[in-house]
Amino acid sequence: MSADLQRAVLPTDIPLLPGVRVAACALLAETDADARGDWFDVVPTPAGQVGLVVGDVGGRGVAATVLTARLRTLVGERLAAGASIGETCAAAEALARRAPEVRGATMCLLVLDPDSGELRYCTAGHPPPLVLPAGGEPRYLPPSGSGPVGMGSACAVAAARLEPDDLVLLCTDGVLDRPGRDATAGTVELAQVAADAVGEHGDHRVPGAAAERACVDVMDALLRRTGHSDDLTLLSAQRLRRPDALGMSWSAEASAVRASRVVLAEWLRGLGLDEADLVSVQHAVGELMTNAVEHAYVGAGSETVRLEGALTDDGELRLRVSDHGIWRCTERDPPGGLGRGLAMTRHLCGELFLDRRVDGTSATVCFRPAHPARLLSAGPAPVPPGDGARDRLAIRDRSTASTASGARIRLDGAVDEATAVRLQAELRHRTQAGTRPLTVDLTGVTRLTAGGVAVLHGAMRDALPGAPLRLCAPPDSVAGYVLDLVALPYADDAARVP
Amino acid sequence: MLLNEPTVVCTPTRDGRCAILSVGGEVDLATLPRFRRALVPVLDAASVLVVSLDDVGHLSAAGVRFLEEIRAVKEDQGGGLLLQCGEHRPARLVLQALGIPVITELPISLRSGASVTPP
Repeated sequence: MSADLQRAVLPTDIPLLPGVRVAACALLAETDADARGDWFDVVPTPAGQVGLVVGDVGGRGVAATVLTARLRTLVGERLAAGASIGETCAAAEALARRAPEVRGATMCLLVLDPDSGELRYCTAGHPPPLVLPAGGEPRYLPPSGSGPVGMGSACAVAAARLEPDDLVLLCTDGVLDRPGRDATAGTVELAQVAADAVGEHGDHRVPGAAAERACVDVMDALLRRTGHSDDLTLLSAQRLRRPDALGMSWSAEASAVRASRVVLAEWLRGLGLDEADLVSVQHAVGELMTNAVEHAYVGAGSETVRLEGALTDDGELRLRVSDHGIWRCTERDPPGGLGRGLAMTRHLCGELFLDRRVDGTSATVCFRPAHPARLLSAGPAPVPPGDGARDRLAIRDRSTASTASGARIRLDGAVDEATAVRLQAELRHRTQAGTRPLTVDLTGVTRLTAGGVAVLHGAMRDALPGAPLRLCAPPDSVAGYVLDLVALPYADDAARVP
Repeated sequence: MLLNEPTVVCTPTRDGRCAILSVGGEVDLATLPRFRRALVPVLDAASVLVVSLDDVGHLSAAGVRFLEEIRAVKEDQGGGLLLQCGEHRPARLVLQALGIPVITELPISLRSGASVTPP
């Protein structure tokens, strides 16, 4: 069974927006059972900004997919309604109170103003955005300091700025934490690979081509280098110059139809329309121009036809053909009908508005150009060597009689979706459901994913007063790196205890 | 002649029952009269016409209407008209938007070595 359900909850089209080019690429599990909770979204806001979200709900299978849908819907609706990042995070927290299974979900929520380049973001337990400046060194933005959803941490919002042509790249932890790479090495590698992909080979004549490369080429390069052990999701946005509106007049002659077609094609290419969309729009507008020239000025003198176009902040392309004549039916038009030309316009563009007045006629077509999100199939999930969670994560008792703070365990190996359930059971047992203190030493952890973080978070939250669950790890370890990222408190006393 | 003006090349098959009309250029308000003039003389080249639209960059609704008129004429004569256009080509998009059947490739029997006398 293919992971149709997972695909169904992710965007298949990325809207074309003024002043920014967005692209997305996701590598998804082949089967529903392997489906992970990676998700992303692109949401134009009422203030003319664009919201970009990449998240991971942890877990796998249909349950993870259903959670993805809930969280994506909630976040998307809030942003589209004009909510701030703080308000959107608060809504996610509220959802986590009603639906505990959402707890531990991570997301990076970013709102970019294409005009000013200002961006605000919250990394709720999620890897921070990578900025690829045009002609500069790549740099990660600092984590904003918020923890995962539903863990009670306050929403912290940080700000940064993109210069024109700069690009920002969001990813899920599967991108950083790949086979043979811990999260630290994966983080460095992503910056290098992404800089290579959008850097010197850039074709600046194609608007937004770098955004596409930052997703597709980077995904390709990472898979060739290491393969993958999780879903991978990349979402990129390049700040571009806001496109000029189109406005031009021609004298109402047959040659105006072709002349306008040439001008329109150049303008549409500048917006970054895909070729198929361009052909549709060109033909639709061509019929409106034909009608204006043919019908508007029967027997009249030198009159003009005007073509105007604009791409709205929410990604709607509006094209208006106007004249100062009155459209007349010719013998070829069906009585009372629109005629085949307007029927074609409507079929190609969807929406057509006619405004016939005594002093002229205008026809407006509305169209939402988009390009596809690249949703790739990963094939069956790789089975780790040894095939058992027991082989991949060792949980050892390190308690000593003199340990005043209670029992202590040390984890060695991978703390990920595959081992999370066993770890959860172990923590529950050793803390006697949160009633006994426990110290968890993460020094030997080689991999710590969102699913593992959620288990640790959950155990800390469930601990009763006086029986805390403490984490400890060296800051330069894999666990230390990830815990910093997700803003989960831990102590640096791991080395002092054998 | 401008490069965008429509061209029509007619290639009858060996047995003369079918002819392929390869159309190129742009068909719009300005070029439609020339398109009609170019097409009319080859209409009777064979009883069945295959009109290949791969190289058409623009096809107006009026151009489609003209092709439909030809279809009616051919069917009245006991023949027929087949429109051919490859995937992702502009004319295919237009024909599909109007719900007019279009084939992707020429039938194998017509593809190569079938011609006798180009007009």
